Order: sequence, then structure tokens, then C-alpha cells
Amino acid sequence: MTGSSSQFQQLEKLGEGTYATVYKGRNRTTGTLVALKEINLDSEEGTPSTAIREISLMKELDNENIVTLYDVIHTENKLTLVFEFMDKDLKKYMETHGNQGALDIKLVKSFMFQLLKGIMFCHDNRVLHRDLKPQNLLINAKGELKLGDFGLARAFGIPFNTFSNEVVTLWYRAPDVLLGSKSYTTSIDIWSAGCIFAEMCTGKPLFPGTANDDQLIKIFRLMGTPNERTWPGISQFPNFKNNWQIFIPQDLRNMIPNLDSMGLNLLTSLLQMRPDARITARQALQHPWFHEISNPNPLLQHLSDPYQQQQQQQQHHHQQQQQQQQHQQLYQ
Amino acid sequence: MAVIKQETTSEKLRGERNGSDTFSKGSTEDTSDQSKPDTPAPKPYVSNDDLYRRSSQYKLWSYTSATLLQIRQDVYKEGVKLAKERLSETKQNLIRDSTPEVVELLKSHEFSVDSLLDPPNLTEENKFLTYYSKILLNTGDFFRMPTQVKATAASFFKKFYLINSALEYHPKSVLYTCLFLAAKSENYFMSIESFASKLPNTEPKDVLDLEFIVLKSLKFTLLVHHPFRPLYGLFLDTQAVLLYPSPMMYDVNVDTLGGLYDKAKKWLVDYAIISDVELLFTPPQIALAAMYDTDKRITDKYLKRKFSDTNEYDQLVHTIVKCIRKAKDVEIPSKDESKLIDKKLFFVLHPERLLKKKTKQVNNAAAPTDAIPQPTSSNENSTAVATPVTPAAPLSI
Repeated sequence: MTGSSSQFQQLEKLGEGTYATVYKGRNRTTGTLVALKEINLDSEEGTPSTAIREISLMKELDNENIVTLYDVIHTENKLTLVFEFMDKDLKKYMETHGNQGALDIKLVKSFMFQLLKGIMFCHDNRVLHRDLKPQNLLINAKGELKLGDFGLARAFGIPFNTFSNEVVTLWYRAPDVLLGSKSYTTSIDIWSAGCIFAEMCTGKPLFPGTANDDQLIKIFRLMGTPNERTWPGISQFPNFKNNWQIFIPQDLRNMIPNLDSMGLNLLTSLLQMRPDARITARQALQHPWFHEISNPNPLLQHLSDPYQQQQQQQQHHHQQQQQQQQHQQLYQ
Repeated sequence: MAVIKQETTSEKLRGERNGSDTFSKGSTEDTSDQSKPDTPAPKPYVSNDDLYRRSSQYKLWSYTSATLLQIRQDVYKEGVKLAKERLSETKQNLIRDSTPEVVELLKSHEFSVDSLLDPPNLTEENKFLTYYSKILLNTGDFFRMPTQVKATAASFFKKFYLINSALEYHPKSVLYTCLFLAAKSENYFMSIESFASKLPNTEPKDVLDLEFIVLKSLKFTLLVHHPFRPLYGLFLDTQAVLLYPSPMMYDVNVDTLGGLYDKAKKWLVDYAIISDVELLFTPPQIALAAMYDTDKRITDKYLKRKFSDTNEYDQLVHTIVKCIRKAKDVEIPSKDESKLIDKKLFFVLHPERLLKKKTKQVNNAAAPTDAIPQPTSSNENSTAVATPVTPAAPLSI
């Protein structure tokens, strides 16, 4: 199970993560491609705690929409996490496959569905990703989307109130976090999902703010400036100001003309200013916009439902396998 | 440092858990599940049981008493085997570098590996590890670590010795690494400098060198489910069940239940963390055991109201009672006893010292005045005694 780094041939650099450099690698014996995330071991602190937390969470999160951690390798001064290889991150994917970055709505739907499934799995397992952005969503040649880079993720126990508000890249950061809330929960990942949704449709980031206040103003410009009436309790936030310029909410349709009204409805539910008004990942997956994916054919329904599938696998593993094979044959 | 052996026996011997598998109904952790009544096709929600079954704790670190014992025996056997290999290798090296007389002596029966080696037996090894888990907790207290960090560290420590033997890794250094790793894993920041500087005879390097070995032994699974959250859930649920709409017991109110909760929490710290229960029972079962042992009358009332099915109730109580017995079935050896075990362990871990000691003994007996050349000079006994076991004053039990 545990290999040495010589087991992998290091190929080109794929990018810089939050605390590590990622290379493409090839298993010398099997030829399988992998992503090698190299972490320099700090002689001061040993394995960085970000790496410790990422390893810890990845070991618990076994899901088709979350990138798999195969192995951890230790050499004198570095630690290498061996991940399943994914061809591109969503940012690069949009640059190369999109029409000036914008993706076909059918593809957006497939990616959004997978993104929300990954988020739901995290949240069901009481894990907040906290850093969702196109660069952290990985796409493979089969068109599968998986959540990666859990360097900033953390498990949420009972107290929700001790998190730093310095996480999540500014553009995808929820307004409650920007306002200084430290008691945020799963809803912060949902806001990010909404921003990514819009960006996939248009090819442009929805709220490309440059600083905390600028980010808030960019959000208000589109969503309307919140007040005590639209968001009770907002004046209690540390970063609340009573002299914000007043914007009235805009119609998202004008921003994203290529998205149908059902899709806009889902987007609106994700991009709610008030965290408790945002829908959950589970609710979002049941949104009618996804019906053609979640319910393509009643006979095959359970194939598209990871939970039902898993539960059945636990209960009737063999039976299920046979069924799946039959269905796959039906498909072919 | 000795070789790391991996995946010894725990994988293949992993069995099912004791008793009724999980305990879902009493646990009120279900906070994250939102049901949306109006949706056309409600998806099956993920219960806490499902969640637990998916956890690495359940999949990799859950045993029956029998498999657990078997694993410990196997790990011990492997530890003895490695100790013998070390001893015989050290002897061979010595033979290569020694004069003919010494070689002859070393090849004699007295110096055979089997008659030389006197390792602590399995029971002693286990007692010794318990002694050190207690030191681990005291060390955690010394650093004012939260209970969660101490409990995680104790869990790492316990699991480490299901993969490795104390005959190979002395628990003293392992416990420091476990604490430091648990602090990082539980997001309780502490610099290695400030950590190591407060430990007796410990350099940052000593703590960090073992880090990967511990990580690897843990199979990189660092998320530990403790019984504290389920206990809190039970505390809330007992209020709902026993106090509303009207109190069920004339002498039980919120304060009574609060007192029970506090005592049960202490019970978990005193018994659950040190014992094997986390390897044998689910966190909610352990939490219930804590309550049941703290106040049987109230807990029993709660369970009876929760489970109208007597079969289910009986089975659960049976499991809880078993868990209580297991939690209290822990022998903490005295300081003197562990010193003796430590002395034995010292020679297992330092075969060169064992050979020196034996050579000296033989020489003294055979020719007390004669100067048969010895491999090295003579201060072995004093060092052997002076070496380990004594942790710094604030850490002793």
C-alpha cells in the first residue's frame, strides 16, 4: 500500500496549491497517472497542520465527486500526497472549452449537479470545504467533476463560532463572512456554488471584488443593499456600515441571459444574502432544474442517486452489482 | 530506528463489533439533516449510523474482544521476533570486532539469544502502555490541552500499539508525538519549540522524527469520533424525554440532568479514554454507558421510555453493561512496577547494553580479578537505571 516516491515518475508541474506544489506523475509499474502534491516538511513544525487536516478529511470522504487520496509518501524533507489524476481544473477547462469562458448550459447543469453532490457529501459528513472556487474543482476526461484541495476545509463540531473569517477566496466569499460573521456554517459553501454556477454560464466571475468592502459593494450592486428589514440582525455584524450606498436588487436574467428561468430560480436560491435563507445542497439537488439528470428514466433512477445506491450496496451488495451490470448492459 | 512493519494483522482480523451494532435512536446528533416536506421525491437521509459506518474508525479500528486480543498477541510476537533479530545482529557485529576469547564466550550457550533475552511479557507490556496513557493524559493536562485533543492523542497512542510493539518503540517518545500530532489534527496550535522545551530530555527532533511513523501506523486516519458529542446529544434528549411535556420523575429536573451530564463527562475522561472501549463499542454506546454507570435509575427510565420494544431495550442494556465492565477493566501499574518493566524493556531496546551487562556478569563470576578484554568500558548499569521511566515532576501520576 505505501510506496516510495521512486514508484512515481514526476512529470510536469500542474500548479501551486494553498500550501504545496502539485505535479503530474506516473506510476512506474502500472502506468497510471496521478497527481503528486508535494509538501515541504517544515523543520520547525514537522508536517504542516493544513496537510494533517487535509489528509484526515480525505481519508473519511470517499465519494465519486471528491478527489481520491491514494497514498501518502514520506521522504527526508517532504511529504507527497498521491491523488487520483484529473485532467484540468474548472478554471482552465472554461478557458479552453468555453465560448470565451462560457460553457454550454447542458454542461453547466452536469457540473453543477456533480458539484452539489460533492458538497452534500461533505456536509453530510460534517465537513465544510470553505474554499470552493473554479481552481479547486477538478474535471477529468470523462466529464466528471470532483472537489479537490481540502487544505482549508475543516470538520465542524458543535461550536460553529470559532472559525477564522479569513478563508475562501474573496470572489466566492459569502456576504455574511464578508460582514465579519464567524458563526457561518454549510451555507458558505452554497454561496460559493452559486457564484461558480453564474461564472460557468457567462465565463466571467460574478463578483470580482478587489478588497473586502469592494467585494460587498459588488454583491450589493446586483443583489441589493441589505438592511434590517431584508436581513434582520444585519446591523449587529462587525463590518456593518449604515452609510452603504443603496442599490436595488437587479434581475439576474440580465446578467445571465443564456440561463433558462428554472436555472435562474435555482441560482437565486443559492445566492441568498441571508445565510439561513440559502437552500442546502440536498434541497438544491432536488430542484426541478436537475430533473432530467436526477430522473432521466424511472427504471434507472437509483443509478443517479448516490445515497440510495450506497445504501443498497450495503444491504444487498451482490444483488446490486448484478442489477448494475444489467443496467449497464441495457445502456450499451 | 527499526523498520516499520505495516498492515500486520489488524486488517484480516477485523471483525464485527460487539453487541448491538450501533445505537442510533438515543443519539440526537441529527442536527444537519433538513427535511423538506414538500419536495416531490424525498431523498433518503443519511442517518448517524450510516455516517458512522462510513468512518475510518468503524472500518479500520473496530474489533471484538477476541480479535483485539489476537491482534495484541500477534503484535507482541512480532515485537519479540524483531527484538531477537536486533540482539542477534548486535551480537554478530560484536563477534566480528572482538578477540578470539570474547568470540568464544559470545558463542557459548549463555549468550544464545533465547537465554539472553528477557522481554516483558504481553500482560506487562499492556500494563506498561496503560501507565503511559495515563502519563499522556497528565502531559496533556500540563499543557492545558482541551479534552478533545487529549482524547484524540490517547486514541492515536492506543492504535499505534495495535500495529507496533512497545518492544520496538518505547512509549515515552511515542506519547509525545501522539500529543503533538493530535494537537495539530484538532486545530489546537502549539509550536514544537514550546512543546518540546517543556518536556523532560526532549528535543523537537525527537518528537518530529516519529511523526511519520505514527501517521503511517494510523494508516493516515486521524479523525476520531469521541463519545463527548453523543453524550451532549443524550443530555439534550433526556431533557426532552424525561421533562416534557411534564416531568416523569418527581425528583428529576434540569439541574439533576445537568449534574448527571457533568458526572458522565468526567466518567468518560476517567474510564473511556484509557480503556479499550473505543475499539469495541460505538461512541453513543460509550456515552450511554457513562450515563448508566453514573445514574442507573434515571438512565434506565430514559431508555425504557425510548425503547418500547423490550428486546431492543434488553440488548442495549446488555451492551452498555458490557461496555462499563470493559471501561473499568484497566490495570494501572504502580510506579515501581512500571520501573521494573521499563528496565526489562531497556535491554530489549538496547541489545548492546544487554550484551555488555552479561559479559560483565560472566567475567565477574568466572575471573573477578582477571582482565579479560571487554568490548567497552564499564558504566552500563548506572546508565541503565538512570535512563527512562521518570517523567518530569509535574507529569507524574
